[in-house]
Amino acid sequence: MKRNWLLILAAMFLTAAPLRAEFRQIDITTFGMD
Amino acid sequence: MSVSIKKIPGVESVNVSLKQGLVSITLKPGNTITLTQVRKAIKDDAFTPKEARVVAVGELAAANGRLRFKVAGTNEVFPVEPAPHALWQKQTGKPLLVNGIISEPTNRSDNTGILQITGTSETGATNGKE
Repeated sequence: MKRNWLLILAAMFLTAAPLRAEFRQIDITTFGMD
Repeated sequence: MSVSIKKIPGVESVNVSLKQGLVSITLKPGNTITLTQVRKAIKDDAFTPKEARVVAVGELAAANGRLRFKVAGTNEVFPVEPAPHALWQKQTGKPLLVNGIISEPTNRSDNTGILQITGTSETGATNGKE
């Protein structure tokens, strides 16, 4: 039973890693500001 | 304009340079912001967004001989400029920190813009600064 929980936790950790994905910085050239 | 961009969840800070015509946006870790949201916020303030220099975490994937970059937290996908970036092909299928320039979307078939990759690194190896 304990082993199953450890396997579930390990699977959750491994599948969660790719979700840490996002933009960190956006520098966007914009017209009409002068 | 900086006020409307700051309202987007996940935005940490906004710096607007009128002289350079540049809006610099720093984002919070774990954000789910999309470039489309940013472009819309700029357009809603009656300005015209052009190309964007970005640092983003995501995955490269090859399909039908074409390379795409998927920002997984948002499901936003950008076609990757083909030549001379064949070397990016070797980095498909794993999380990467990508530096690049996304062109202004031109028409209905190109509604996201095309990503020109200028550099990549494995995630965790850097804090996102060049």
